[in-house]
Amino acid sequence: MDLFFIGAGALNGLFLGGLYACMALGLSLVFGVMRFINVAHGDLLILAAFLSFVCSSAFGLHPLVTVLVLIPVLFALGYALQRVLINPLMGAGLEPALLTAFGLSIIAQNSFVQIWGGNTKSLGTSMAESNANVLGVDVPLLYIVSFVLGSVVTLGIHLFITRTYMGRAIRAATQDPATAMVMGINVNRVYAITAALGAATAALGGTLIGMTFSFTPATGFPWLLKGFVIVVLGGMGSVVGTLVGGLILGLTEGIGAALFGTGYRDMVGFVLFLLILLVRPTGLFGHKGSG
Amino acid sequence: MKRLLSRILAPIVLLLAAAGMAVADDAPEEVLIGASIPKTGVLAAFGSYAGWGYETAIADINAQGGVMLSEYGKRVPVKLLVYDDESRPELVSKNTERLVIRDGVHALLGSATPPLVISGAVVAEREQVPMMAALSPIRAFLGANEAGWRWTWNMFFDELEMTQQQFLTMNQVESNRRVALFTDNEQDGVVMGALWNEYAPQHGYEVVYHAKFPVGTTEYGDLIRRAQQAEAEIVIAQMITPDSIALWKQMQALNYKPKAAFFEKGGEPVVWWTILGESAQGTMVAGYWHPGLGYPGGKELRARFEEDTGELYSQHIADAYAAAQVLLDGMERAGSIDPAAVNAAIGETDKTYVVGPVKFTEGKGQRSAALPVFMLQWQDGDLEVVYPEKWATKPLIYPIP
Repeated sequence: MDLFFIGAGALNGLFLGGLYACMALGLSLVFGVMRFINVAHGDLLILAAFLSFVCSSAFGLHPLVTVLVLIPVLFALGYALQRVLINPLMGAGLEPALLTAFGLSIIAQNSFVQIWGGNTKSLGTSMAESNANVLGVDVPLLYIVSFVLGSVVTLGIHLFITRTYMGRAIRAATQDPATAMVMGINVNRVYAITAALGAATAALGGTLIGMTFSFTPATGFPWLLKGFVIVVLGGMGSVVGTLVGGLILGLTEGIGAALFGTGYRDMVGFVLFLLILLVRPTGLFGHKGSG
Repeated sequence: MKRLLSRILAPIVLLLAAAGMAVADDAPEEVLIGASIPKTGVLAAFGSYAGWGYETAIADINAQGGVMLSEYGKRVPVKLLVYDDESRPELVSKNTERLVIRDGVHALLGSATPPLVISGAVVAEREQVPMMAALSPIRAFLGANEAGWRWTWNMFFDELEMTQQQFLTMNQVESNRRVALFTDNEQDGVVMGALWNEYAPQHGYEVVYHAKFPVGTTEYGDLIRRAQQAEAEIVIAQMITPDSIALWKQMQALNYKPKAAFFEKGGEPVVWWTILGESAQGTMVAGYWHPGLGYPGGKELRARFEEDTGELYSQHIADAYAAAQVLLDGMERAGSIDPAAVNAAIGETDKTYVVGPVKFTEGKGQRSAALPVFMLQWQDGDLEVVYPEKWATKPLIYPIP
């Protein structure tokens, strides 16, 4: 076995892991705080990719610049959806909210087809065809950019959760919503802000996906699956765990592809997922009530 | 005498008229043709061309009053029912069953690419409804049913002929004759991958690396590095468009610049150029249709498509349009909508359509017509024929800029 390919695969995968983490962050936040699996998260990512496509085509903006526009738009959308559709259902158990998210996912995919058609799209940038040499290995520049941005955003969210009043309110609502309510915390508002933050991170995640790969109205689901693996790996609801989970998944996939072939990338990731679930069901950084 | 004649003839005329009316009354109000096509999903690009081709051919015959059915002595309007299969084979089966059983279509048109076309064909065979397909390479189509197709007809290129074009084109220029293959696990990827491996040595080429991977793969770094290390100057890929785009982008990002790159299937739809832009300049894809080949109505069909959609044409508009025409011609020859009669009449096709000459091969279960093939190259946003010379519309750009 040629060690060069394993090393190159590992490096490639590690950098790609930053994109994975960024993509899964919103899913992790929502799950960590509300214990609710937002199955429409993949569609939020693709919505961001489409909106970035529109902004960059119409105004000639670099896709990464469009993220600055998309963050408030998706924040508002996430807030409104949570407040209007999901919050009223939270008292009735998780199933109604889950089914609503399923419905939103279907509506989103059909709307994408109606608005943008079914064809493949990608966010054009010369960055997608550039590379940087790291330790003697050519790595796509976009992977490195994704790694840096993904890490910065994840750590930023972590600081927000641990160092701000709203972050403390989020943690309180996560650990014991009833007591948090008694203490004067508006839990519904906390849930809405969490969902809004999750959607806002999807603005960056979706744009990076659109720049690095291509997307269609139906591409959200495979990304949702990958995101779920990352959330479980890192620890359900742990923000730092999501970053670590993303990096581990990228690393494992990269090494797995070099060892067993590219066809086995996803399989290696899912085997790791099952192993972690078996050995540590709360994930690497997870514990009850983590946020 | 006059009176006698009128007494004898009048009832005969009346009887004939009544019989004629009865025949006309028996005629269906419309002929129903069904199609399941990928309007969404990873094959949506193909679905949009197929849909346009089918709809346009049917609109054209309806402009003449419909399909002429001699059994009823009149033209009957044709209605096309289309369902989206989302590029999913299991949905093609469901859609096709719905079209046949619930909607009662009289004939079917195929989806796009072997997994989808074959899924629909299996239902057509079971329900004994004639299906005319295009957009599925012939060997992949035939290989999926060793017992032989009875109700499904296919019109596309033959992979054997197509897999020679890359080598024949490369014979026009200098290269190190080292080839890297990238093939996905779809039926045509498997069939064509094997053919390139088999025929490369006969043309004096060596396959130095063969990457095989599942459809939907997004990360190709490891495969690209191996092709690069094997010093392959020629890349031949057989994969769907989104995957092809990801592969080409990553090749550029990893600084792997082959001198020639053939992206079969994936490099053909116009999104290949609209997404990749100048970096797609010089990439190639084998073709079976170009508006400049001189087949009847070729230039007009391109102009109509581009006027209707505002997009660059694709060769798939021609085979989809012609597939619908072959089916409608079969109905006219049969003079009825009886499935067996239409099926038999399709088999008698021997005519040059807008896509080229169509004649189905003889023999049990063959049911396929191979279109002549050549090499196309992306040049400044348009596809030009670059091989063979007799059909060339522009000189070959080599190496890739």
